[in-house]
Amino acid sequence: MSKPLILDPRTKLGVVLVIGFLIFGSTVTQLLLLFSVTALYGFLNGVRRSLPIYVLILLLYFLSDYFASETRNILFVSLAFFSYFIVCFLPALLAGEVLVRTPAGQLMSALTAWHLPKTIIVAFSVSLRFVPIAGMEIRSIHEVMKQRGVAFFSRTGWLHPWRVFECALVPLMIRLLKISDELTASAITRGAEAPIRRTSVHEIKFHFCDYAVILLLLILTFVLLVRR
Amino acid sequence: MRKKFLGIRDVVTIAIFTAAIMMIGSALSKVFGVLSFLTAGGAILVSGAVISFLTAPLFLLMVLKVGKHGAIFLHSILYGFIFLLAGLPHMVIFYALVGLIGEAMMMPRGSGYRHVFRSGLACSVFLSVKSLHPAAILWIIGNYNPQGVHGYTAAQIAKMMDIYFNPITVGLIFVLTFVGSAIGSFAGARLLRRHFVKSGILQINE
Amino acid sequence: MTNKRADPMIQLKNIYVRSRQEVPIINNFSLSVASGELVVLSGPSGSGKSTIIRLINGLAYMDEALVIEGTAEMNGQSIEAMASWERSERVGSVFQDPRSQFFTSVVGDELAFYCENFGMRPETIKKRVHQAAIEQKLMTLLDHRIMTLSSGEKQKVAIAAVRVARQTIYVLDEPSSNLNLAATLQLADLLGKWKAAGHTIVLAEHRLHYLSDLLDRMIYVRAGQAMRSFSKEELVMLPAEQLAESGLRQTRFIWRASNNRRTMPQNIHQVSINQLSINGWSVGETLLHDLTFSIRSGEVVMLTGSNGIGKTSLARVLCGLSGKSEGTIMIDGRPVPRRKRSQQIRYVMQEADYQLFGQSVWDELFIGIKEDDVQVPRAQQLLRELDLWALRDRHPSTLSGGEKQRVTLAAALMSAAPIIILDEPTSGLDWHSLEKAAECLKREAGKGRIFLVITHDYELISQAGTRLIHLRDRVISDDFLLDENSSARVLALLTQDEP
Repeated sequence: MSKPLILDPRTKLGVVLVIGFLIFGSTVTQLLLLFSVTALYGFLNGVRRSLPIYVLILLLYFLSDYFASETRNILFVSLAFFSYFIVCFLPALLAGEVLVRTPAGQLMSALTAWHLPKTIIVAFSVSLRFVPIAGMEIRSIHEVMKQRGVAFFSRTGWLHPWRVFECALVPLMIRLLKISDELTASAITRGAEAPIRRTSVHEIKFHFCDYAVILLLLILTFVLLVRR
Repeated sequence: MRKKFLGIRDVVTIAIFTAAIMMIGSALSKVFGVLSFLTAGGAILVSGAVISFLTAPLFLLMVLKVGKHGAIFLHSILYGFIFLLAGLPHMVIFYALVGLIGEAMMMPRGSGYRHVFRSGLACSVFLSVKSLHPAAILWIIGNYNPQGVHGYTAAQIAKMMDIYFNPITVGLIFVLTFVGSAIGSFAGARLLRRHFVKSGILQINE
Repeated sequence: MTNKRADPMIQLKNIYVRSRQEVPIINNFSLSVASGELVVLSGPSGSGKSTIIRLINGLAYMDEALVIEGTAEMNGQSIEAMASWERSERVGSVFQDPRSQFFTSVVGDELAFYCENFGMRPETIKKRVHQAAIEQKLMTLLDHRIMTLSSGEKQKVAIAAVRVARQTIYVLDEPSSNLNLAATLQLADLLGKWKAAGHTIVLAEHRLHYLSDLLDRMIYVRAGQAMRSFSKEELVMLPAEQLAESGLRQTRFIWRASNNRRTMPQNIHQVSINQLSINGWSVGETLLHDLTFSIRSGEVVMLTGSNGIGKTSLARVLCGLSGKSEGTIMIDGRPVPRRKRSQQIRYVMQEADYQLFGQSVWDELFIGIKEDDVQVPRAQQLLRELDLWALRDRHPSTLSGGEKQRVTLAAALMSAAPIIILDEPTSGLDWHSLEKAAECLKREAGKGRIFLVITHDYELISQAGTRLIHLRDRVISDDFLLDENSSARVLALLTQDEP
């Protein structure tokens, strides 16, 4: 396997922005073009595992679309209806996946380069890092609830919904408050309030491939907009 | 005593709650996504209500804990940012607007934050406007993307669009979500009083 | 000033701290620490040690819930008057739980966080990160994701992330509570190096064994007051009984195997595990292989082994939370399917916060249990035994870490489950609570319960254990009954774990 391209996070962000708006108002053919371009872009950037899934969704759409016009069965029609929406978003999801795979540190450096206030950078970095952790916290709480017989889908769950509501939310709230306290302490004792403009250990620079990607993106946008 | 602007502590609190709310929202959306396949879209109507019901207490706690202007806006922007990373940049614009609406709810007489009822109301409005977003996006796509390789599907999609996105349906989603988040805020407020106000973790104005 | 030496580095004078609800936390506390000194604050949990640490690093001044009186100075400058970033340049703070201190997902970025905040140039940042990483032996881990590290490694990252600032004062709040013995010894090593370099160090800590050679003074804190100060010599000379009386943990490893080992009750329950394999997250990965053992009523089995070896995974499989296993689990001679196991096997997780739902300690014990004539006296007795009676009306979230741990233990003991698995139940406990908890375990075991305790805590093993199972290289490497002569073997097993 070849090594993924090394792109500036700003380029990746630009791709997301442009593709995100291009998907509106595109015909199916244009969406297909967008999809293949972003699929190639994703492939070069190391998105490999989820590509087959996206292709499958695309196939699902075409299949259900075909069966819908052949059989006029309501099942296929609604399948086509919903998969069509997902297909519309596929190019954007691909561009997003490339961006998400960027290490948080590099993303931060892009924000730093744009002179965003420190609090915003910290907020962004914290929420980004915390999304997977929040999932783990919720899972752990549900496991304890199961053990103590107050899980969502248990007898108590049906009989005493308020109890379950309370048992699910209170530990989560307490955890969240505690984590915010600890994280704040950690931030403050590491100079997060210093009134100095942040720098970044990652030096981000535009390279040849960045310019190439941007150029191609511009051409694509031009072509698509002209054809409308 | 109380600083006017958001400090590091507030920002971290908002960021963490945002992540948790996001996580719950996306997990439930997945469930409802599957359900709407099974119920031919019926689940979409209640998905916003259920998600808001469950996240309203967290939202309320966040707003009351931070207790400063800007909390809702920052929360909203962060929410949008996370969507941006998933490849949906237009969400940032939408969420900035929703955030402003939420902030506006808290504007009058400055004492809005830390006031339970006001926060609960702002929370309900915020969450119900927010819940329109997926519908709005789908509506734009459905109406402005010339679709369907086969004529029949195109016609069907147009028909289904009419069923799912006529003003009544959208209004219904809004109202249901508002009710869901209002109940959620009410229950959340009760929860906060029982567990957090009594033990001194949280100070609120009734 | 009564100080003989040069100006003290840290000077706390007549400090009073109370909460907004007028609950006193610190009462007239004074402390002066000279440059280059290593001072340990120890005492029962909830005595205010952490608050003193937070006074020195200034966090207490930013807490709106606290009212503080008295003067606190660092190098002659008022700590309160300093800006938070000025404090962070001088005082490095290491906290108890390293998991929730990180801002980025990669080790190298985390170490750079401080320097980035101070707007340093990338070359300078790299140099500092490099140096801190070498000191903490993290060079090979710099581009690893923090989530994948062991708690010992996380603690090192947390320390290195502070160390890049090159402060001269360090405060540490129970740094060893999430570490195993090997990692704790590494921490002791590091503290020794810092001390040799002339840094001033203040620790709040329960575990004294790894500090007794390093410390200059130990301040015994109780109810927010400095009750007594011990020099190193005085502390080492203190008899174990007197330490225990003050609620302090031991200063060296003393084996107390003699008292009531194996008071085997009538054989009521038995859990047998036959050829059990535990699978990891990725396909085809086996964490533990072909485990076969059985435990009978009355036994308190200590389960030890390195971090990440699969102790917690084993516990999760046993209580039915996880199905990633092959093999049979029999209770009282009958195989029990996964769904049924949670009623018989109760698992108490390491993190107490997840497990507290109630609005008071009392309420907590009655979640899922009816408040009737049988259960109420049991709850009363349990709360008294675990020293929680006075706290019965408090909201669990307002308790200290050690107190929460005892509440989760009490809640588990309230359940009808004959088998109870505890995961690191004593990480935040002082000696007094540890002893109480150990007694409680032994008593309940005598009544016919089975305990499986995942732990690194030598003192707990010595106090409560009747048998030890050590996991190594995916199998049970040691399984023996604990008696008067097991001390050396236990210590050897604990120190050979990976840090």
